[in-house]
Amino acid sequence: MIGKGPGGSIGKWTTPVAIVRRGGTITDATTTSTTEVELQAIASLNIPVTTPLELTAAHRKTGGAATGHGCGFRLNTTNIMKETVSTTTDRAENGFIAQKTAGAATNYLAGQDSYHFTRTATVGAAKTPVHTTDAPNAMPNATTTDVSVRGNIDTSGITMGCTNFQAYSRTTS
Amino acid sequence: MPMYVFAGFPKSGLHAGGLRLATHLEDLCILEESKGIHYRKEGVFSGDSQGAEYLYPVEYHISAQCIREGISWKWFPVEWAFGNGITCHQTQANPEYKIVVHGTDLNLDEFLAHNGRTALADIELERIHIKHEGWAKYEARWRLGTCPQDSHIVRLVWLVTTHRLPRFVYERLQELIEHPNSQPEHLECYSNEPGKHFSAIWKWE
Repeated sequence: MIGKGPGGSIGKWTTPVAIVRRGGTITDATTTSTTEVELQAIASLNIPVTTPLELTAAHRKTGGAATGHGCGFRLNTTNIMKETVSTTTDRAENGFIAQKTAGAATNYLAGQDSYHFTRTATVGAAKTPVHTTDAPNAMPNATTTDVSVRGNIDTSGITMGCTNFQAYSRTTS
Repeated sequence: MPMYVFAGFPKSGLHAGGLRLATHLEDLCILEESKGIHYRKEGVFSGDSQGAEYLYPVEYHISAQCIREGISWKWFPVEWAFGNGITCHQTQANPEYKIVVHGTDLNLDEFLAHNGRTALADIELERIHIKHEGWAKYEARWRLGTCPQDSHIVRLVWLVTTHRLPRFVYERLQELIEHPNSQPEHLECYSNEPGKHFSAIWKWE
């Protein structure tokens, strides 16, 4: 199907593959660090700066101490999300974090959204979905070559883990 | 406070917390776990906040297995965060390929658009690796000629200790992490609770 754009220009609709998986891992990456650490990373990417991205990851903590953990995403060398994602109750908890971006461009560097969700390991127990739009930094205005999940526990005594980290991009033509 | 880097995930199935317990049960070392100590590629800082003060350069030891596989200190990019304590990390990388007509940089669709109708017998197709910016940047991290050229996952374990490890302690940690069939001692002290000390094994369905 061919359509004319503004000014009479001719565009072309292609048969789109709307969502492209860029990479991901499904093994448990874990840490006992009380300061931020690289848990999982997807490297060797070449995602143009204006391409919308979606990042998802599952996280967990063990019991063993009355403390919690935090995690978030990083694009290239820029933290774009970092949140406390658990309670400080001494119990195992797990959930997911997700980030959507609308792609970056000059004057449009805050086009991102993020939300996280944590629940106890017991099915049916209370859950705390949290939607946040606060980002520690604007998106980098550059080609995305690396994405990663960073995390840490608040105080020693537990382990936090991250798995099923997946990166997707959406086609724009 | 040195940092030790090993190749792979612990072959015993222990995760970072399980390995931490092993260092206590076997009296191997004391881990640095203070919030005031943050290891980064650039050095050791007084925490991971934006105003953290630089303290001193990183003292690191990378295992022989890592070096053999092409991973040296250069593998870790600028601003890489090692944190403290113990971490089991993984990085995934995928080369991208495209199918082009031999002798050109055009895929079949582009070739036909340029050249019109063409008999299949007159063209050869080949699969080439796209060495874009992201791949070049990643490949440059590896020792020359060692970067795997297919989809792969790099797994590393690093730990930060308060003191340098004597050789026998270093070798025991190396055994727990890098040697197949290694087992921690005092297995009865490890919890059977799923995920408490051992990682689950995932399988693709």
